[in-house]
Amino acid sequence: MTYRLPEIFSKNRNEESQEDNWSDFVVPYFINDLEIKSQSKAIVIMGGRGCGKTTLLRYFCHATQFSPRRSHLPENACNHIGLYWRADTNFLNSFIGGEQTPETWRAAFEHMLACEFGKEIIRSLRNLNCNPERQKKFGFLEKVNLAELKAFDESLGDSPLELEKSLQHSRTKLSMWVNNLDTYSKPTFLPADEFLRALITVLKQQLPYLNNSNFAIFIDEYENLRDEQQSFINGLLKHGAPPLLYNIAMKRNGWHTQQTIGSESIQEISDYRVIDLEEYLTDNFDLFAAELLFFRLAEHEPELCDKLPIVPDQLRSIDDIEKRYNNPEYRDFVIGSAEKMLPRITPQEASIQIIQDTKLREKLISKIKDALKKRGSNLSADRFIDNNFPESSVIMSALINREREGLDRLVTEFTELKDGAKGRLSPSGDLISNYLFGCVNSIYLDARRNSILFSGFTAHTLIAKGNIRYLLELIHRIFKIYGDTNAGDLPVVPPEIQARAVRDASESILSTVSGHGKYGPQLHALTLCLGSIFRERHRRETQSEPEINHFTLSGGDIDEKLQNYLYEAEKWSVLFLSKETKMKSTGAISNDYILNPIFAPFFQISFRKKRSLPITSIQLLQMLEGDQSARDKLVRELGRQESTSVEQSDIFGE
Amino acid sequence: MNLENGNKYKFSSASYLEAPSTLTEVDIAFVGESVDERGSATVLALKNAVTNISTLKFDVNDQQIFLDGNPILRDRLISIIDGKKRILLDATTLGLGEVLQVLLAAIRTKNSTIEFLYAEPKQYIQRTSENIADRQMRHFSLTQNCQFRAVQGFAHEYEPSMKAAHVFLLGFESARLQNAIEQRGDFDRKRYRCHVVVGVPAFQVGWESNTIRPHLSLLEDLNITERSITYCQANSIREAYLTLWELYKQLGDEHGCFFISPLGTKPHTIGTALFLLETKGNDIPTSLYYDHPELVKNISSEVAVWHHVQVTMDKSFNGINK
Repeated sequence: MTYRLPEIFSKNRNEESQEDNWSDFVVPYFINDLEIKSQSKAIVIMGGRGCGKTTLLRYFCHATQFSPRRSHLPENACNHIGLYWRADTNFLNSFIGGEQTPETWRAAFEHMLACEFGKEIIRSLRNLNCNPERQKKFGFLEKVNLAELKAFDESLGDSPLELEKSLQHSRTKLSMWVNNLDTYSKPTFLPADEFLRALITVLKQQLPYLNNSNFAIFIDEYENLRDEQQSFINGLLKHGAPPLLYNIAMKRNGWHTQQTIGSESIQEISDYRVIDLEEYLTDNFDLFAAELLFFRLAEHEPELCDKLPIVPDQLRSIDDIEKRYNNPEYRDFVIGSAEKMLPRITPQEASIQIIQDTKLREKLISKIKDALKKRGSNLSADRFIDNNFPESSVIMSALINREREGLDRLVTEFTELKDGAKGRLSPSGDLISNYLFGCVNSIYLDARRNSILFSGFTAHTLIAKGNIRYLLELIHRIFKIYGDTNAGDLPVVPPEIQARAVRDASESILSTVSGHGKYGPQLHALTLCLGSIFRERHRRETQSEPEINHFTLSGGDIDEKLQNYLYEAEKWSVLFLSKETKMKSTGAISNDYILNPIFAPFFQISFRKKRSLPITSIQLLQMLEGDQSARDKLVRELGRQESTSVEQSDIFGE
Repeated sequence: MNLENGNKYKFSSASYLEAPSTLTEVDIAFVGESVDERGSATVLALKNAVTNISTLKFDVNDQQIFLDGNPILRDRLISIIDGKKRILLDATTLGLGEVLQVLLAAIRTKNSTIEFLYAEPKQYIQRTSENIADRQMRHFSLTQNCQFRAVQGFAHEYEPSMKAAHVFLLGFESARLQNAIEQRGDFDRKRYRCHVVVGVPAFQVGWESNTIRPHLSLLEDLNITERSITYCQANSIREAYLTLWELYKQLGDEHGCFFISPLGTKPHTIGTALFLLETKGNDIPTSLYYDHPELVKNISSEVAVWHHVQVTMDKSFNGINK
């Protein structure tokens, strides 16, 4: 018997679209910091694609909170009733023109919200009363009389179930009208907020257990709504008050407007609070990712539980966060176990492999020979390689290429090292720590092998950079190549397989960039061009500026067009704007843009933030809009030119 | 000319190696903006042959029709084509939005025949890079992708709880399929079945691999196996139309919706428009799901084959009442 490991992390799992994620949700460590259930004003949940916004929203909504799989509802379960709505923005985008006035379309949109949220309110009560035990505790749903609501529209049902049906019927009529404006009569439109508040009031009057309830609507993918629809929602955010609050979730830079339909605009702090999910995910992502890895394994193969470092119920419990995240031993154990499953090859260990592997050693020798030849030296390459000093041997090719390094001095220092002295070439010295990663990587690049440095669970968490979807894709690809494992055994995936798999995953994710919104093709071109430049930089013979993998906008104006591109690049997480801004001598703040490390394995460039490259706004625009020859020229110029890169501290903690 | 019977349309088509001589008696022709040599060739051929020629544009963001640059109501379009015996659309330069607007107008008049002119490109321009990393990504850049936006009249709303079949007619750019899936959001793969149509035979031998290869990993992600792939002649409006009917009969469900995304050749797109017009208001609803791409300039060069297709709507066609 075997475990079907690839399936466990497959995107195609059916669970992904379930509204009720009570059993599947790994409670993130920051959940209590979000203060969602105690909200008193609107919340804007922000985060890139794949960071888990929808999963989080679904967790807070009634299908999960009132899940039949939840054995015990706490006393305050009804205090915050979450309602999830993701609009079909394709359909909503047609709410314009057709010889109808803007006011009519706004009323139609409002009607849609009234119907959708009204249905959700009734569904939440049905979920709350989903079994006899709950009906005994709450109940009385069938006795509720909603006739009062007929003032809005005579055709509305007067019991909860009938109301739900009539709202669905209204929705269908709306859809028919939108598609047959010439021939179909306009339905009666409901005013959203007034109708929903009236509904909640009637329900509260007749169902005492709702006395302290607030209904919180979560509108997902707000960024895809039309401008005027965003304006309308903005008004709801601004004026939302208990017992009906409105919240939105969107990608970064998702606002088209912060205006309401009136003359007001909405302001952070006074009108809404922002939850930046990616910011929360930055800390402790390694532990959370490891928990997720083992949780999925436990879910799929329960008999493995004894061998796993986690207890699934503990990960599902909101009460056990302290035990998980304020416990260094637990942290080390869980991450260590993940590293055992997906072991890492350090640059030091990779140096040994280079020395021992015939092809890689040949590549090292050839690089040293070429460097010596370039400097007109007759010295033998063997003088710079020693099996007992692999790290020093590996960085030799770069050192010899540097004019300022005297060859005789290098030979002397290497000899001294072999005799036991601790000089510059010592494994614990700065040269090794600064340049070994780059030198190892360049040998793999030149040998056209997948760099072994892209291995190890921790490396994968750095490559995924807080993105759960990407992390699962990396792990899925790794197990897809690794295959199944024998029942009862935890897999141990060789680093070579990991390196190959993450490159495949990276390539696959890169190919999706063209589909990232309106400027997808331009963002794809930018990614390819930047990645190619950084790759060229990683191949530099001197390795004097290793690991250049981000850029600083260093000249020219950022006009509206370029700014829009940058906003979109951030929105789709192609680039991250670094918080580590630094003051230039002029006093201006310069922004660093980091290419998403998920693309690092494809280009075989460092996933650690090390050095930046100055790029002008004109060059950046060419990367986005220029033709192929212009982009190739940029790769030649920026990839190979000698320039002063800026070294920065490693924010990834390596 | 071959006269073939469709369901509610009769198709009559002919192919030529140069501009057809049959254009001279066309009463009114609609053209779009030319972005490459074949587009310039069809517009020129029509200007030489037809006296009454207008540019047509449909702005999906405002659901607005523009005739010769001026916004017009649909009634105006109806009055323009009403009474004209031969109405021709230059499918080379017009997009799906414009074609749908003319078809919607046509069924409100006594016109029962619409003609399409289409010129195949001789070659597409594939960019090649000198950078290894860049070169490894096999792709064409034919369009600037836009958001998927509904066209009034052909917009069925999607709800996650509903059943759905979604047919994607594929082209060279996998990004468009990717974008479609992305914008649809997470869906229950048991209830939402995806099916793809690949243009085989392609315009030219070997071009089918330009369609299939870039989509492979995405099809795998979507769990689309051979059973969910249909092949359909790339340059045939009629074949695309009939293929959609076959899939509709096979996959359509009255409790769900049959979505179509024509992301491939223009003949496939025109076939989709005819199918949507015919099935509008059916018990098993059909819906367009489309990204209205802006074509990149000079994406192809020269003209290979010209197609002139006449589509006659059956007298029982009752699109007007739907």
